Amino acid sequence: MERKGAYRMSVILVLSSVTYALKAQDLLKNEGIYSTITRSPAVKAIKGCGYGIKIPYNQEIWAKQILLENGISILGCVIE
Amino acid sequence: MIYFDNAATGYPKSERAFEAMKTAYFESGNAGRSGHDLANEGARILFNCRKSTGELFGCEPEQVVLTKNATEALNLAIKGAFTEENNINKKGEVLISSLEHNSVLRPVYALCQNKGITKKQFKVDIYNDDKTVENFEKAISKKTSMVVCIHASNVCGRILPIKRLVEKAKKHNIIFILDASQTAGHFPVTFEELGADIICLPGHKGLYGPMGTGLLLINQKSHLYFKTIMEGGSGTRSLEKEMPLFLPERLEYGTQNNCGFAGLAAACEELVYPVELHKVFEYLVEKMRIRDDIILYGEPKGNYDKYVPVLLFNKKDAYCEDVASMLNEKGIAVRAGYHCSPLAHIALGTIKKGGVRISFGRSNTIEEVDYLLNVL
Repeated sequence: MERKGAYRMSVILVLSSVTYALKAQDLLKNEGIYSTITRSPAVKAIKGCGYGIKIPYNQEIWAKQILLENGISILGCVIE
Repeated sequence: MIYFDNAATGYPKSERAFEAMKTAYFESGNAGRSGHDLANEGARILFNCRKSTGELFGCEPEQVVLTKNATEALNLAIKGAFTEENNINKKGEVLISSLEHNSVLRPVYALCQNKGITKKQFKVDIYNDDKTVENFEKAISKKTSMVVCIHASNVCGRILPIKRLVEKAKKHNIIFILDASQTAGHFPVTFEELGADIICLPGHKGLYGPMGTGLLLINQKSHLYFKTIMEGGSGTRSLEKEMPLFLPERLEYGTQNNCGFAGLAAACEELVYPVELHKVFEYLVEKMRIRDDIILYGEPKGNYDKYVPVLLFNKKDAYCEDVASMLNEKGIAVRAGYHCSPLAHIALGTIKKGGVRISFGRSNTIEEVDYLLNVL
């Protein structure tokens, strides 16, 4: 079930490093999903210091699938 | 200046690489350390370099470790991968060739001094690849855990039959580290073609990137674990005392060289393999061969496809350093001495007096060779 107001929400996928974040950003861009690199408190809470990519909430499942298919581990997922 | 010292560093450098370096210098922050735009631009610069070089050598961006030179890459690889986590016998042997540079010989020697590991050598037969492969196979023992091997000699230019050596090593589950310092940029060097576990190379020779850049490339299929030999800030996992387990950050410590790697990426993007250079090299060798006052060492004998354009010679009754100095006075840059490769000079019979090395790059011409021959 889609959350109320989901179109305005974002999801941060927490990744191992900035290298993986940039690789993920490129892979998603190729599929038409635009993301931004982030070091928000949500990312820090999970792994000390880390990087994540912020994507629109409604593209979360598709984005996760793309990353997993390309061998990128997602360490966590935070809704903003 | 006529530049025949490309085995030391490729010259002239690319203008495009310089422009990329200048932009990175003024417009990027510390990569992987912060979340602001300048830091992200720095991270993007490094990532682009991993991507460009990864495409060139056939690996993913995260398998590209950025180093300051090939020597650092070789140290990280040799000392880092020689560990029990890679099913290595801690009293095992490291096998190297008879043509290795000090960037291999010295870290292997240090590894053996510190850990009680044994170093063993196999003889490269300059004129017979079958014999080289045979010597390699004979040198492998049950204790052999790692092979570190030069792709082409920096002293005489001979290319080793790496694919065949890797095939033999893989039958015994031996880790194979390739030093591609003299071949990268001259012709395609890929994991798919050669099958090595690790490839180490400088960014500033055949790739024409800036000095102070190097690469440690890791074959994804090898699933190697690396001990760290240097530690420091990595920008991630800051609360942990150990370096992150994942590559490339595991092997990268402290602030990276944004400018250098921006330049290297730009240089790689404009790279064209210098196929025509072999004609110039062939011309040089054939002209030098017929001269009575010149002695050549390990030079091609028709088999130019087994060489990168490097030639070692001496002028009869002259010291090599005197010849290089005289050539410099006439505007020709060559390198004399031992080229950081005592093993190769032993193998070529020049350990007592060294030699003069001519090494070509993409801009050298037959006219320049004619001038050299006249001066000599």
